[in-house]
Amino acid sequence: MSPKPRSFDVHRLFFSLANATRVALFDFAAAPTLADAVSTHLTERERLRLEGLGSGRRGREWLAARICLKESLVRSGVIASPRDCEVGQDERGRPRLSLGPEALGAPPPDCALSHGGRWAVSAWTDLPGVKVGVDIEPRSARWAERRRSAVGADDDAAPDLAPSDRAAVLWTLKEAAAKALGTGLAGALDSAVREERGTLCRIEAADGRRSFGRSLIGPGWVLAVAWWNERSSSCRAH
Amino acid sequence: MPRTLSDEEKTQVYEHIRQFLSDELGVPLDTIGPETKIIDDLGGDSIIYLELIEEFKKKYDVSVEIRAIGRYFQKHPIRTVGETARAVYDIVEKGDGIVEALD
Ligand SMILES: CC(C)(COP(=O)(O)OP(=O)(O)OC[C@H]1O[C@@H](n2cnc3c(N)ncnc32)[C@H](O)[C@@H]1OP(=O)(O)O)[C@@H](O)C(=O)NCCC(=O)NCCS
Repeated sequence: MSPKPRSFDVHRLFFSLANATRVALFDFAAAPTLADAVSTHLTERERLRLEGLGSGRRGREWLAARICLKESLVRSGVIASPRDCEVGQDERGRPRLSLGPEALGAPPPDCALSHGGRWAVSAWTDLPGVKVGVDIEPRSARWAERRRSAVGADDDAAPDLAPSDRAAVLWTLKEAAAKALGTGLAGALDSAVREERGTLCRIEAADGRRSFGRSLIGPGWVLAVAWWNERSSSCRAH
Repeated sequence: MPRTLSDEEKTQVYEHIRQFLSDELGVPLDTIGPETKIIDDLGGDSIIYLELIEEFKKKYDVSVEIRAIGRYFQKHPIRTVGETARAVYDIVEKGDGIVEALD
């Protein structure tokens, strides 16, 4: 008999995009141990991948991100147990979810992952054609020094924030959008963030594709979620 | 100011990158070589790239727009320490001209 999955303390955050993007945050440094999750949350292939990453920081972050995503899917009823889905990746490293036969042929949600410091964050949506991205970074004064690399001349958003927070917010928005598009670090560097309306930002990629995103500053972290509609080449929040 | 780096300066850049990664990521210096992967082997992340860019822009007084660096990375992904060193040589030597150099 397979062990009963232990539930981890994953917090749900909400960003409104037609109620279809679920964002979860996991403070994995506060979790007593992640080791149990290897047998209760990972499929065989995922376990092998984790073995390759080792038990150091990289392996721990990788595992925490999977726990975060799988717990969020279980709590929303998409899957009954964490092992009913598998997180693979495409050729560029973008995570790709597949659901077990219990899901009865339903298309898997699109998903994104990030880890930074003691946190892992996941985002997923089942809105057809929408790709999500997410990024989390520790909030720190070092962002003031990184400003020149994180913020470009074309960025025009969040003018009222302190310089270090502004740099963190703009950068997480760019990384989240680059993950939605699958373009990675290079895509994040070559993009611009503009204010759309209210708290909504528009992230413009070099090839003209537009994503939309929101950011949130929490205790010790800054995170952003972005979404892109591959059908309309841009995606507006409702 | 863009400039040409001598072989000795290139070696210095490479050693500086190794030392920087060792200090920032808490990895022993002798485990870092040209083929070492910054994310997969050293547990680095995109922030370490931002800080490396910043470090060398300051050290060599190079002004280059981050979007130009993004375009460069698209053509030359920099996963390893050796690839990163080559990117730094190009950025220091060509400055904002790195984009034209791609065409
Ligand atoms: C994607 C990328 C921006 C991640 O940023 P980061 O701040 O270092 O790390 P984060 O914790 O925020 O995100 C990591 C997650 O992004 C996801 N990811 C990786 N590549 C991705 C891509 N192309 N598109 C979308 N998501 C991606 C993965 O799920 C990864 O988590 P995992 O390793 O646990 O599966 C960066 O790793 C990247 O550009 N990778 C592409 C290839 C590369 O190594 N380039 C080197 C520089 S040119």
